[in-house]
Amino acid sequence: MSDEHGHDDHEHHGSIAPFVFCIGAAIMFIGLVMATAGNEGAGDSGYWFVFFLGLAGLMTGFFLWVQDYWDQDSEEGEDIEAYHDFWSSISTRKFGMWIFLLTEVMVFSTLLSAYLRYRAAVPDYDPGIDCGVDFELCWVPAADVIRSHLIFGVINTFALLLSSLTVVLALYAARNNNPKATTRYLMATFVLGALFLVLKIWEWNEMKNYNFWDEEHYGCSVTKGQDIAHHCIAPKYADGFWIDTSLEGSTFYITTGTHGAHVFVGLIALVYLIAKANKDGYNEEYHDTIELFGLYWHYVDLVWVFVFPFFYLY
Amino acid sequence: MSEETTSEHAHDEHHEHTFPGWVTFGETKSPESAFVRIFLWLVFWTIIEVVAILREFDFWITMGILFGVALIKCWFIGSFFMHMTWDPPLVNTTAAVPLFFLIVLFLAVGLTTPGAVDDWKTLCGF
Repeated sequence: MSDEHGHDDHEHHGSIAPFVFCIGAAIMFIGLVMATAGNEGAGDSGYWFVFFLGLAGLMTGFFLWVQDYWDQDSEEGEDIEAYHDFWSSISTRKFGMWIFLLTEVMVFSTLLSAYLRYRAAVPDYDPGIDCGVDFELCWVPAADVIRSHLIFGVINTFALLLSSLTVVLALYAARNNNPKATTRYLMATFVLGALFLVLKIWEWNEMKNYNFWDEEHYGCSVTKGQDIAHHCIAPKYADGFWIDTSLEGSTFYITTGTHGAHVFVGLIALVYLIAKANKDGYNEEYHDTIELFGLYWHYVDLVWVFVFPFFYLY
Repeated sequence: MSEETTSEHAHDEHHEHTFPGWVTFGETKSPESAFVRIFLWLVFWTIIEVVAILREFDFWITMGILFGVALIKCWFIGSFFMHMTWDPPLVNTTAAVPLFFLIVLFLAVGLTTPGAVDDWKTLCGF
């Protein structure tokens, strides 16, 4: 913020909260990797201490960060925008959000390209090729397992698309000085995001505990893409389809789980936005935070646009 | 579209949002109703995706539909919901950077031939 406007808002720009948050996140993920790395949980469980230490740092940074903005009223909020000479066409906060999204694209690119790599390396199940007794030599995709439950994936897709719309409508309601509509749209977004996670957890639970190879039908003519109702997807899924069942399960749960974690983080941000909207109200001059959150939420929607065909349809 | 333009770099990021006529079926009354129509487009494309799977077309046709539709939906969300159509070119340039890595990852890792040389030691010649 330029000094000529007489706003001493250096305390906002000088907040230590993002730094604490990031260091905490880094320590947390290092601890997670070290504690779980290796086969059959061979990681050193002592590293869970590092994980929780990082988590504590992350939570500390988070609450400091929220507190910084929570105490601002709308007029102060107007003054936190800054423009740097180097990227002067957009605000620094917005540019920062885009940089963050840039890194997020790489995260999901890694997961999806790893998935594609496995799909290219392992042949899909076909009665005409030797897939081993349990079909362990062939790829039996999650899409085959999910097929009869596809409606929930479709509902989730519509829920995320609709939530993207409600975020946009919340932004425009704020711009039109309609705080009540802003809050309503934000709450609708939260409900849709929560619906997504509830259905996701239900779906995971079904897939984990369902028998996808009924012994009574052992030897039935399994064809690619067969319906789940036949209980005849693959012998290796007789005890359910879970993260440690097979490579198919690992790629499915890691990718959809990472995406679900992003939805969860979005819900936490929405709780803050709804509370802030109730406290102060967003308006024509002060709605930037909704726009930045919207970018994140649309990105999460965007990722789902690719995860859905990759894992649910193909 | 930030409107907090109080610095000396005060930039008018508040644009009048204009939409292509074919996207909104000529609707220009308000941005809100235009966004509702974009949502309906996304629903339409999703239905196409699901129908393509249920009809069980040839593999490559199915793949073409799935990933073609995904790219179209990506364009709708990015262009309008994320406001990239109206944002300064810097935003699009920034967004293009990870696309480079995405393409490299997909082509060099995801779709490489199984058994091809892919370890760094061999690739780097040491």
